[in-house]
Amino acid sequence: MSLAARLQAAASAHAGRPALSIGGETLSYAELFAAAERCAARLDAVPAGARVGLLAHRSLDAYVGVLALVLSGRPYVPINPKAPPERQSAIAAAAGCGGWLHDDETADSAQALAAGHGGVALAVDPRADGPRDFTAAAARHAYVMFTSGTTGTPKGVAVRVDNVTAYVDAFAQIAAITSDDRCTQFFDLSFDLSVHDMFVTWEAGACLFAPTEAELIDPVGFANRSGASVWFSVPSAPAMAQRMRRLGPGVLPGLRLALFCGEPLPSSLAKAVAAAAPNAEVWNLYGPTEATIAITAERLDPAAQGMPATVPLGAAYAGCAAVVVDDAGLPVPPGGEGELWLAGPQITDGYINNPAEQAAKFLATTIPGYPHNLWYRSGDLVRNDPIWGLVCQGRLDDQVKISGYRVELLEVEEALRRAAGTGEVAAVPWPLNEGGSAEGLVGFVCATSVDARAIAASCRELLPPYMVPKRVIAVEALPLNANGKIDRKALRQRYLERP
Amino acid sequence: MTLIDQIRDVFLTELGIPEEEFAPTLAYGAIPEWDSASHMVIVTALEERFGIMFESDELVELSTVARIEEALKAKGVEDGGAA
Repeated sequence: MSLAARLQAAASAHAGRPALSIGGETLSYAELFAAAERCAARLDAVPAGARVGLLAHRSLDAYVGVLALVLSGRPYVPINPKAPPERQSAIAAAAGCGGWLHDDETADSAQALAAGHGGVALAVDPRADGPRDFTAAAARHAYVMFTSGTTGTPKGVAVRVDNVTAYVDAFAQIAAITSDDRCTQFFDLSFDLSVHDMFVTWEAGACLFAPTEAELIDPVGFANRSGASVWFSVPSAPAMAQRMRRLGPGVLPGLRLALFCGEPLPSSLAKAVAAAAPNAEVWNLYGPTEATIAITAERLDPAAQGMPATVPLGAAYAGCAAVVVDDAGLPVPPGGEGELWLAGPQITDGYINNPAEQAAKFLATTIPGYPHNLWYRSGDLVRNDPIWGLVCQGRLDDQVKISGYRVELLEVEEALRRAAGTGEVAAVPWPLNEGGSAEGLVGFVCATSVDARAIAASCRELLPPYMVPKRVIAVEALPLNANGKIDRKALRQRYLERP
Repeated sequence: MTLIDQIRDVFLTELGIPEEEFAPTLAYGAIPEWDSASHMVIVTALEERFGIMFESDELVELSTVARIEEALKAKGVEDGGAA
């Protein structure tokens, strides 16, 4: 059964139950799906099967828009309204959308994208009346998610409908969600972990609680006010709550599941969460967008002694494989480390219009002992620990995580180059937390002096806020390592770690 | 330096926003740069600068520049210096 058919079956089975709560308003399954079907009917103005850019954020329109596109068989392309116009336009150019769905606040952006890239702009208009007859089509892709790219422009990952249903089915074997559950929706729609929130929740007939932007300041308070039973966030969210002194023991008594994904989960933080939510199972999920949301899971044992600094990645989902391989593509022995390769029904179709990157990351090959013949190279350096299993050791390339967002330093450096008017620049993650994730970036420019404000302002026009360097420092020369590459570690030690 | 000048200094430094975006009415979430992650960065910078500590319930109330100014004054912070 397709994702659309599965969601419609859940909607009829749970018609009178709450499906979505946002900004104090709660919609039943019947109401939510009626709104989505009316929007889908108006989408007949967009060619069947065409990708549709969705410019809506933390509004009822956003969720109705996603559902309308899934039901009508048009892959959705979430475009974060907070991203600067130039980045929205870069995503639009790469995505090739046939239409643009917007809410009340993003009409102008949608019109601008339609004018510049073709296609029609339509309002989601979740309260509009009208016919509910729409043409359902069997779509190959459910969504296209854009992540930071190494060449200075974001890259789009096309995720199939059957990748998503494989994910939902595999996750149900790890932790089944029931119709009594109340699930958080903290992730932006342009972050693929939001796909888990929506479809795992709605297939189960449970209710999704989406905080408004203002409510995000205090996720613990929001979860408690919502009576949430399932929490899903990046580790940065409880880390922030901890720094705000809002993650004390027992503060989240209503949770039965606390799920984390998107960046390494520090073991000390996971234990603090377990104490804050004494009735909850704490799970660390791992997986890149290219392998659909998450592909391995580890349940925390809060009593475990000697755990590594970050919670292990755990076992691959049913039907999937996660294998640490050496440079020859062969599994490393216990105790060895290497790149983590992933396979199974969640491996996506990969990048749109990017054959070089596709060829480098998606390999049609086999690994002895595994039945899979398509492997995705994650770029994650992982230890095959004899006791703890897969343990994250960092990255093999220049990708970093900032508050869970995936950031290619090369993309930031490209923006810095344009802003500073010199080729000699570097972006350095700083400060780092104990899990190895960064809270921000510092830009280095090879110059006698820099106008840091002007450079930051210029970067803001190209990059989403979390990618903009918080400081820009002028240096006489950029240190190089033995391979002749910019030595970011040396920059960090020389300029940032001084007392 | 007046108190609002010092708060401005923290916002411009920590968020990297241009001066014209700063105003007493500036609210959490109104600009992309002031989000849940950067909120704590601002709070920490204010605590260090003025040598004070906010209670956990106060932290979520600091949702506009004007409220931050009020909260700092309530803690005895005045123009020109620490509490």
